[in-house]
Amino acid sequence: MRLLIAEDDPMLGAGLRRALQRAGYTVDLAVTGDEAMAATRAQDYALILLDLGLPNIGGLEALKALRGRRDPTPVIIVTARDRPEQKVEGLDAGADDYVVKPFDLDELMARIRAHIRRGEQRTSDAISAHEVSVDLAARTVTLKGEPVAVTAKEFKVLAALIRRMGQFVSKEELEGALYDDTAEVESNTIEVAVYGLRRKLGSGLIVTARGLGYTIPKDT
Amino acid sequence: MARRRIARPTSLLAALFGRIGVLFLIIVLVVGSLAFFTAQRRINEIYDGQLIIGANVLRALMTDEIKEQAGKPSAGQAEFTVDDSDLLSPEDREAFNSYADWRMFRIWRGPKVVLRSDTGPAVLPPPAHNGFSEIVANQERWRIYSLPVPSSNVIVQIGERMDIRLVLVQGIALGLALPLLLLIPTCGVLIWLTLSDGLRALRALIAEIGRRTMRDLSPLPLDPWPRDLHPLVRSINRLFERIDRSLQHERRFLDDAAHQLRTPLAAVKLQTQLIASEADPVERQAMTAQLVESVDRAAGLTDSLLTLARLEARRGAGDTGGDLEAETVAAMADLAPVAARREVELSFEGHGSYPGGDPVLLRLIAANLLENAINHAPAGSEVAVRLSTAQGQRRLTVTDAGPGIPAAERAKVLERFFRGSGASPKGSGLGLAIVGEAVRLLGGRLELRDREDDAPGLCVMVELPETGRASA
Repeated sequence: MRLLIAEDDPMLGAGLRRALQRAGYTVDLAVTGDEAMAATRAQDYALILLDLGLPNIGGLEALKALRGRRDPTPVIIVTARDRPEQKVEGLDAGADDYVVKPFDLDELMARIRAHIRRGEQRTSDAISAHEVSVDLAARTVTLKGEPVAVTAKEFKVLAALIRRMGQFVSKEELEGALYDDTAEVESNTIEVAVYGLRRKLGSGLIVTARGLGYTIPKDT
Repeated sequence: MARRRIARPTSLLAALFGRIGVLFLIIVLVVGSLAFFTAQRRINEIYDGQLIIGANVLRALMTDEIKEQAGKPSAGQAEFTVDDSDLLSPEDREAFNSYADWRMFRIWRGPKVVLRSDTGPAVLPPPAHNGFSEIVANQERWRIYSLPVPSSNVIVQIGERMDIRLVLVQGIALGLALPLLLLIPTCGVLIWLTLSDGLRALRALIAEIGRRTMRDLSPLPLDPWPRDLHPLVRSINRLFERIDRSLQHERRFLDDAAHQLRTPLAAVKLQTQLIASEADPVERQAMTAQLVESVDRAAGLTDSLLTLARLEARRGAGDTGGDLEAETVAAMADLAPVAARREVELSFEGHGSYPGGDPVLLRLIAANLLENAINHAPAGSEVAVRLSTAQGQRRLTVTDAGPGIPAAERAKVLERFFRGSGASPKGSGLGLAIVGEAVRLLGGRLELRDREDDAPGLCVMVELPETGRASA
């Protein structure tokens, strides 16, 4: 799952990126309003963390421009501005949530999960299909109630597929969920991960269709 | 601003009362005297008129007798008096006697008195002329009217003591003085009460202003006060407005400052939480180093804020013993290691003496400009510092080969916390604001311009008056 952080403070930006990567997200970092705007045009993000005090284009303007393009990506404003009228302004400009610095990391993570969940119209971070259960928050996988160890890449691929259960996900989309802008894409990573998942969770779980990509069919 | 010296009365009320009191006394005296003199003149006119009437009545009464006697051979040339004459009826005589003390008459025929009253000066010279005259006899002043009877040598003379008029005039004067004397204290009390009532509005205004606190600086309404107080109310409102603006400015600054500190604190908190859950010791080490950097940044920002806050206090420091060259060179020495680390060359031009100004402020200006230039200069480039004098101004320019500041942003970078598009990630957004404030305190001018050789980069120019602090 790919997130965008728009934060000009290098320390905070790096720390956030690290924390999100550790939680299994793929993260892009923008340090100016311009960069953030460019990134949102180039990529679909599962969620955007937006600082308001960005150089050259302010966070609020970037947010308004994003919503002006009818982009529904969940946006959490992360800012030092804590006055009620500022919060009102931020939320009215189209933000889904408003977090004041300094924030608690666990709380921010929970909010990120909640907004992604809401965005995908789910009620829980635990998704099950074909006796396989994936907990997106705890990053655990079970098969018939028994825990199964998967690699980070396998988990990302599994999560991306099970979140869009019943739909085909292209190889490029899976790669986008796996790699941030800085990483080099290895050509057969997806195939390796899918092979690993089939081996651990059963060969019937993931269906491949040439030209369409991969899918986990809905339970019938 | 020149201040006029104003004689300061101990009390506005007392001063007003004093002035109005004197004015009132003058008016009373003038009106009293006018009334007195007018009355005196009127009395004289009336009494003189009575004398004329009296003389004419006497002449009319005695016309026949005078003719008769004139017809007689002058056997009886002796003097007649009122008592033994039957020229007058007893009633006439009675009436005459009732106030005979202060009236007299004589009838002259030629140089001789033919008839006279008992009263009046015993001897009277013959009338010198017709009409009024005044004589003094037995220490009494008499006013006499002489009326010649036409076609005879008879002259009717009638006189009156002046005392009687004096008594009357004195009576009038007394009658005037008594109410006036009563009027003075009464009016004094009334004036005092009126004045203090008039000043009640002023006292109410004083109380109203006295009730105000720093929290309530809303303008005073004009309506409740008399028009004369409107300029005062307006001045106070303008003062309120200025205080309110500067308070708001400080409040906004404090607000901004607190917010600016939140970002490095958020980074510190986040990194601490990450370290707490990091198992890999190598990762932990790297994250701890970042945490220290974040703390340094927060500390740097705090320093800048304190510097800015303390600048205001240096306004009255009065230390003008600084030298721009000495402080600039010292700042360069301080920052030389930073420049070396960033592989930036420092150059200096314009040795000499540039005395005047608070050394602390001069150092702040030089150090902040240099630090800014070094932080923005690419490795291998040069930061040029130049001192010169022109038109009574000491001029310091710091030129770097960094990205520069777009002309549109130049005014804004002087604002606190503004970070331009080319802002260095390490900047607090306060450096140029501090320089701007220090330059202002020294009565100088700060300008951001393009490099003279049009190469990319920024040239910051500071002009300070040669005498140090501006007289303003």
